[in-house]
Amino acid sequence: MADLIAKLDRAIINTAEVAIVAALIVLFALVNLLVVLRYVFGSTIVGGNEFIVVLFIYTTAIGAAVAVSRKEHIAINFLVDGLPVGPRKILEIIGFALIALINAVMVWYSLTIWIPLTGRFILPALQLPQGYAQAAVPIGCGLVALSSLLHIALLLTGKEGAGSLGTVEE
Amino acid sequence: MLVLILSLFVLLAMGIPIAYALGLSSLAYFVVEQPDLMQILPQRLFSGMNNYALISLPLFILMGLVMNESGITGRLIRFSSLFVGKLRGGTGLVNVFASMIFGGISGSAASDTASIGSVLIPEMKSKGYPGRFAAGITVASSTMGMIIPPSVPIVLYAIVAQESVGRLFLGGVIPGLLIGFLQLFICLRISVRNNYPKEDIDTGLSSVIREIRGSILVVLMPVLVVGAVVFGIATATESAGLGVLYAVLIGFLVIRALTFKGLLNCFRSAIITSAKIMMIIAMSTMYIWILALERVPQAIAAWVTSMNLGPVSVMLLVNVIILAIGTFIDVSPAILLMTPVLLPAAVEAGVSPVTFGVILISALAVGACTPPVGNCLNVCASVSGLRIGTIFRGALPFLLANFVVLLLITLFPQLVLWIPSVLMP
Repeated sequence: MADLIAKLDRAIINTAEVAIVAALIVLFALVNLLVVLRYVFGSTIVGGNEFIVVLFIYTTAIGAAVAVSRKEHIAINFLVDGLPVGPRKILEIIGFALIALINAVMVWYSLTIWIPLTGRFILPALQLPQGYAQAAVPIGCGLVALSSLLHIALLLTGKEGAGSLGTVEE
Repeated sequence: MLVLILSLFVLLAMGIPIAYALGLSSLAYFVVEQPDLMQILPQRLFSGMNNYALISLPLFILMGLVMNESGITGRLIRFSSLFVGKLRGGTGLVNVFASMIFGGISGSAASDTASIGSVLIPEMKSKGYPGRFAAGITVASSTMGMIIPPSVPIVLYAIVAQESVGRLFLGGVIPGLLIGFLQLFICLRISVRNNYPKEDIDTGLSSVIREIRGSILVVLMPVLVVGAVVFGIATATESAGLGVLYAVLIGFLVIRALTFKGLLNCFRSAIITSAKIMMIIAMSTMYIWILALERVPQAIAAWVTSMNLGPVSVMLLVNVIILAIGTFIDVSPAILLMTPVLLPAAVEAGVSPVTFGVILISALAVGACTPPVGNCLNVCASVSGLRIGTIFRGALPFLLANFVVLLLITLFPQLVLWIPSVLMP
């Protein structure tokens, strides 16, 4: 069972990582393309900048889930690192539970109030409902919550040892 | 209000990632104080990410990573040797000089520590320099990466403070170079006193031309990227995008050390690093919104005004606060948390937001070299195999340069403002 959970988390996070790397490549290409179009051809792609922003929102929301799963978020660890393994593991489980909680709250309010109320407004350049961009929040936060719950399961089954929820800034 | 601040401290002490600690303490505030406003949480999170200027962040990070992956370190070290290698303590001086250039290219102190440290620390040790000296000078000189443009922390501050990226880039030039020259002087003094070796460098015309030709396109990169922003050719985001393109071309066509696999790894690291910082930005948007709702920045500004302090006194006070907080919090979260709280008070006292930004980042750069939370120290410990305390003691004489420059730009803000006033009046 623990192996299955670990595989599931890896599969979700690896897929998410491929998606955001691809998105960043597209974003980088578009930023340069728009500069070339402006200076060389005196032209532009209508909605190009708006599309870049939407892409960026998705990469951030989903990238946050990858960073949670890989425990790469920026955290202050020097107090926790000094604790024995047992208390550290308990704190890690509580930490993942709290991360799941805040993200679940985000998903709940996004889907029940915020997107139903404002998602139909139209993005000015792309002429698409704003909900397409807003959906990044419940998708990203949902992935974070799911990954946190999977890590709690792995910690409880002993598949994963006590560590830190994050790391120092690189 | 108490719940907002106390819960943040408790959550941070528990090792909860800073982004989620900010979100959770905002949630705790809403539950206790304003349950009706809880529904705005996702909207605030979204608005924290929905900003075109922020896109420059992953691109600037990517630019530094690509240059690093291209193996520019060796070229920059050889290039630096031409200028200072023949002096007493040549390899130490090369370490500082290369950091001055590398800092401009990578925009990151930690990658400077890793790249230059992994080459020069073993080399310095093999030439008889004490490990503590070699690691200390590497860490202290890497702080220039945050100050000399283009710099990722400066971009971050510009976004939070809604200031011109170009003016801030230019504002960092003199302080960054001053730190570099002072560190060179300190290194030379220590080297003469301890009789450290000189380098055996071929300074014949043909080899000088060969080294310059091999490095000039790399060295020019920061000038082109900053120039594009300063002279209005491109926005910060576009100049970062062009900088990445330039770095990729240099890596593939000039240095020929960049691989597709390496490039993909750079994209991967850049987007994860960016997402981590962005999530702190997005979550801090909520936290700062609550602080504004509770009129905290205004209260601090009013308190500072009531003390009738001049701009210099205010900034000396702010320096102490930043240096203290920077010891415990990493650079990006510190910028995101302190700017909205302290900047209004500084502006109220007559301090320019550009000066404030450069002082903030210069002070936080010192924090990156001090335990317990010093990311450059951690990187250097893994590169050198030395203990953090040992590296810190080795860095202390060189950090004196940072403190002197911090004091100078606090007392004489023109050191920051002069170049922006000339090039971007």
